[in-house]
Amino acid sequence: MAHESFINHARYRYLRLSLLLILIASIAFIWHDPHPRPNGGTWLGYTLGGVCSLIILLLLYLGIRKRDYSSSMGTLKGWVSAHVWLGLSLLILSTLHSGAQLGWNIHSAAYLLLIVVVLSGLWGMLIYQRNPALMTGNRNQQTRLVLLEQIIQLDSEALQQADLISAELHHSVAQATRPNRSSNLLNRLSNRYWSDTARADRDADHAANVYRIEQTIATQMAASRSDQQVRYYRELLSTVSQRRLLSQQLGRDIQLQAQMEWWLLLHVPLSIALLAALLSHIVAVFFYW
Amino acid sequence: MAEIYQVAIIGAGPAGLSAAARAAEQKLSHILLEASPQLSNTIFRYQKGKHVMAEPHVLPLRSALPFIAGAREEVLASWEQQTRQLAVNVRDQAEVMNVSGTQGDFTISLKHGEPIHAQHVVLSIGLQGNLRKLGVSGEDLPWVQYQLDDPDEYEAETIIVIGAGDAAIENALALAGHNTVSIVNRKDEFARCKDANRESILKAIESGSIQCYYNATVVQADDSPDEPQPGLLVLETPEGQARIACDRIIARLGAIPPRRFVQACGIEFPNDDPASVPAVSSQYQSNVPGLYIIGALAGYPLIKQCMNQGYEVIEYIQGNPVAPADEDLLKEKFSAMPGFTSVDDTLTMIQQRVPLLAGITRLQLREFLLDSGIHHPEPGSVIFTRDDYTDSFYSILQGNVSIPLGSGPKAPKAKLLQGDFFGEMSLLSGRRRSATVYAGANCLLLETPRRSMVKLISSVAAVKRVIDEAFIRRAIQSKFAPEAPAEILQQVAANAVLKHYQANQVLFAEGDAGDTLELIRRGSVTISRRIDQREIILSYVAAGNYVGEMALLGNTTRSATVTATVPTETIAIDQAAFQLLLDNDAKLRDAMQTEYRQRTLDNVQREQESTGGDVISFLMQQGIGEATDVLLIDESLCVRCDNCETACAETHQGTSRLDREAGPTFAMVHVPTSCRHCEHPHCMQDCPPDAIHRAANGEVFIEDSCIGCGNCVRNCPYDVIHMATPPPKKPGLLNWLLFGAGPGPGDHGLEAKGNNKGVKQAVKCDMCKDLSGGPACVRACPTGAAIRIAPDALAQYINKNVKSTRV
Ligand SMILES: Cc1cc2nc3c(=O)[nH]c(=O)nc-3n(C[C@H](O)[C@H](O)[C@H](O)COP(=O)(O)OP(=O)(O)OC[C@H]3O[C@@H](n4cnc5c(N)ncnc54)[C@H](O)[C@@H]3O)c2cc1C
Ligand code: HEM
Ligand code: SF4
Ligand code: SF4
Repeated sequence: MAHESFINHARYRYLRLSLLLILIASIAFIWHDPHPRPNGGTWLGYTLGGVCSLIILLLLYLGIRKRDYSSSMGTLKGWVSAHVWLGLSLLILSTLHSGAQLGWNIHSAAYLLLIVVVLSGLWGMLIYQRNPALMTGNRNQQTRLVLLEQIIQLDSEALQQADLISAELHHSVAQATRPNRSSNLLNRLSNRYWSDTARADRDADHAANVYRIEQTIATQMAASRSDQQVRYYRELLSTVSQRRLLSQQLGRDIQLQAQMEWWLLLHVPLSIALLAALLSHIVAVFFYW
Repeated sequence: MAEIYQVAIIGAGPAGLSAAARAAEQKLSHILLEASPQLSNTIFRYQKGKHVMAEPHVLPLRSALPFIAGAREEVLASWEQQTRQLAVNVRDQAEVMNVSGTQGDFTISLKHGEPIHAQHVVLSIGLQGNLRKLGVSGEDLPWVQYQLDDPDEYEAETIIVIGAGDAAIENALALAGHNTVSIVNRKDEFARCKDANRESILKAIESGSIQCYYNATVVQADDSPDEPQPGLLVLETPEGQARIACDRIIARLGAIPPRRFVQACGIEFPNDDPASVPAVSSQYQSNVPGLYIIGALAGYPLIKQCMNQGYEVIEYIQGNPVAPADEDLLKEKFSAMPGFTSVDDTLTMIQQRVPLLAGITRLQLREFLLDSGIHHPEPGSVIFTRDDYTDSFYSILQGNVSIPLGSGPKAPKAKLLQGDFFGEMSLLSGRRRSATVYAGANCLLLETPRRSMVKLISSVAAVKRVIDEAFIRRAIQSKFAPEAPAEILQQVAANAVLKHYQANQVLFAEGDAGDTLELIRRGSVTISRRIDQREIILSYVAAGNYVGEMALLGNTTRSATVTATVPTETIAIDQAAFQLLLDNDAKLRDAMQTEYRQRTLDNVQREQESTGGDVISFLMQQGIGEATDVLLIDESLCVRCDNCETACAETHQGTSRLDREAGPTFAMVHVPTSCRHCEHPHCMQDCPPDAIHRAANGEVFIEDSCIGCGNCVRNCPYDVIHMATPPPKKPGLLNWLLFGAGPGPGDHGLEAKGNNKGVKQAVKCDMCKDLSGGPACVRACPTGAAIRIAPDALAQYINKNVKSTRV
């Protein structure tokens, strides 16, 4: 029972169901052989259309079920499992329903939108498979808060160390580490969706800035004649490069998480659009055919 | 000669204060001695604005002082006013050092000042104890303090915190935000604190936000007039003497429990168990005639009980046999019993019928019965069911019960008769009920909750002995010999020994010679072997199972090492005694051999995959060895959506009881900060209103009677309890969407607008016991990363998971 994922939930129950649906639909499709050519207007077409619509409604319902936290109607994992497998079956079921007829009309628009939604879902599913373990590996037992605290700490150490060398260097280190982040850094943890990407970029920027500083320090150090100075430079360099590694680690962490969140920003609006397109498609079929 | 008071009352807590107020009302000559500069120091030290609760609400108040639930300030003010009005003779800053003498002529010596003489003494010093001081010159300077009520009071000061326990660490961390803080540790590490605190302080030291003096002892504290800072602390450190200028010293050195003081007054405790309380008569008199004990010190941890006792003790001293305040409650409880006449008769009847209770005092009995329920079950009905997690204790007042030993309709049945007791197995082991119990004809039962029973066991040695004996006999019977005749069982049990082990103590080691089997009755153990120079853990064995069985089947060299994961108790049975059982039942040997074979096969399998053992030891470090149910997250599946936390908050008044991200990870197995539902929940210790209980499915939950004292937060080693204020009610979904009313779905309510004023209570995971579908966290996880698992299933879990998730 332990950690059975949404992929293999209940020993692939919904994968099996989807395959069964596809199998039945395919046999019916081959056996049916209508004239002049298969399309949505035949009895099989109506049946498949009905099945597809029902599945789409079921998939949309996930958005509601996900927020019904006290629901005892199955587990969310079960719902997601049904969602992905039945969702993928739509690729074939809807194609069979349409009889592969495309044109410049609302019907084809609905079909294409469906395909896009399904593909975006597929993308999400792959990200869900890939990113979690990467994230754990990258975190290396730290929480994000700890990473942030360490960065803040190293920044202030670097400034103190730079002070020992020259006001100029202090300034450049401050420049490289300060821009667009201040002590309210921690607060930003809370608002996720929009700021995450921005932050990931910024952290990458940072790493680049800090890297440039490292170059500067190394150059100055090579030119220095005083043992004392060289020791200061070396200490600063080690602090700053630790700082860069942490920046990169944090940036990667945020990037991995953002990837797991963003695709939904595509998937969900598109699926709402799909609902609209689907309704138009049905209205069009029944009232204007 | 100085005045001899009729009564001297020591300690001005709710108990002593109420006693003194009654004495004043009755115009007795009296004196109330209080160590601190104010009345009721314990309550004075509650957090500002803390809501003081008046539990248990069924108990009526009888006192010369008022007491209604309300803010700490209001309660204290009302007492102060009434104390003044009644002209109570209070002497504050009068710490009592000793009480000697006999009834009619007690001498009370004070730390400062002349001794005091009294005919009767009432001891009501509570359990908080005296704060340990520095013990060097300067310990009483005004800038040296031993408590910290509100860390936010101090800003931009140089503060030195002394001590290495939880209180010191928590204070240092809280102060470090706005002050320059150092911490002084006598040792070279932080060993006596919670893991989370250790982690935080080490981090703070490493990052430089707190400076630490290790291996440092305090030499003295001095005023330093010329420095800008008032104080100078002299430390002896490994690098030599250090003199540190500071604004303030906060020494958190713990308290000296009052026990030694009490014993020095001649009062006896029943045993060495730190939880035991001195026995007192039904009139609160101790073994020293004329010396009375009331309040928390006598084992009554709630304000209202304390105040009632204060009133009663003065009546008793005057020779007034008032009925205790609980008389009516008991009457109501007993009146449903067939043939009820009076409370007193019923108490006598109970002590006559139940030998276990015969030796306890009337006061203990009353308390015991007040907490207990009386049941009159239909014949044949179920009293509790095998595998339930309930932990109450039953005594049979009348009739009988029957207990099938084993499953199936043909299983032999044990019958327990009037005067017997049952339910001790789960109580002591913290495990599920080992059998179902059915009521017999005309059955009358007394059901006692865990806490009252634990209290009785730890205060009355005879009760402990009788229960232990029964436990051993019954455990052997149900585990090995359901059908064995009573004489044989008796013989085997008489030879069995109860053994106690600390966490990480070895029961026996690989290669040792040994001829005993140990049946684990409490705690759990790991089995390990040395493979390639490394100790590899092969499996985990929970309470209710045995280890070392091969010794009894002929193989006397231990093939593996067995180590306790948590404090563990076992019943050790040696070969000679066990032979009796083997001779009695030919099938027993086969059954044990079969089990041994299976274990060996499992272990061999485990030896091949060494990470499995590492995962077990990792999980044991996280306290899974004492868990009954734990939330684990597979980080290779967790998409960090925090839907689990949101679900928890949404189903629990807006506060999530789990912290998904916090907590360690090993081989992709993440143990979030969330309740383990321990077998012997640490949080239940010292909960004054006994608000923490275990439900039938094992959920440890906190009832609404929580008074918000925060003891459980401190006692839980896994940091999973928070204090929270219930948030405002959530609007309907539409109302929120359209009109922006109140917090919306997923808004965690803690910071939400319009908090209730200050009634903070403890909250923790209750495993969603009131939701039909079970724990919301697990059901809301979209990917299946989050699961809940009982440790019994741990071995299986590791076999299934670890192969695929090697690091
Ligand atoms: C944080 C917290 C919150 C709580 N909240 C509640 C609540 O809401 N409702 C509730 O019912 N209970 C609550 N309790 C429990 C309640 O405070 C105690 O049960 C109660 O105070 C016990 O009363 P007492 O008189 O026996 O002892 P205490 O109140 O402890 O009083 C003992 C007094 O004796 C003095 N003393 C000690 N030694 C000496 C000595 N040698 N010489 C002279 N004087 C001495 C002490 O200074 C103290 O003033 C809470 C406890 C805590 C810690
Ligand atoms: C017509 C097709 C589909 C529709 C209408 C649809 C719609 C939705 C909706 C409404 C949600 C809820 C998101 C939220 O509220 O947070 C969702 C989530 C999701 N969908 Fe789809 N979807 C479709 C197809 C698919 C397919 C084919 C896949 C995968 C192969 C997929 C994978 C997912 C996943 C993984 C989630 C996220 C679950 C979570 O993290 O809670 N979807 N989808
Ligand atoms: S709150 Fe803490 S001590 Fe209590 S059961 Fe949970 S983990 Fe154990
Ligand atoms: S709900 Fe599941 S996937 Fe989401 S954070 Fe919690 S454990 Fe991870």
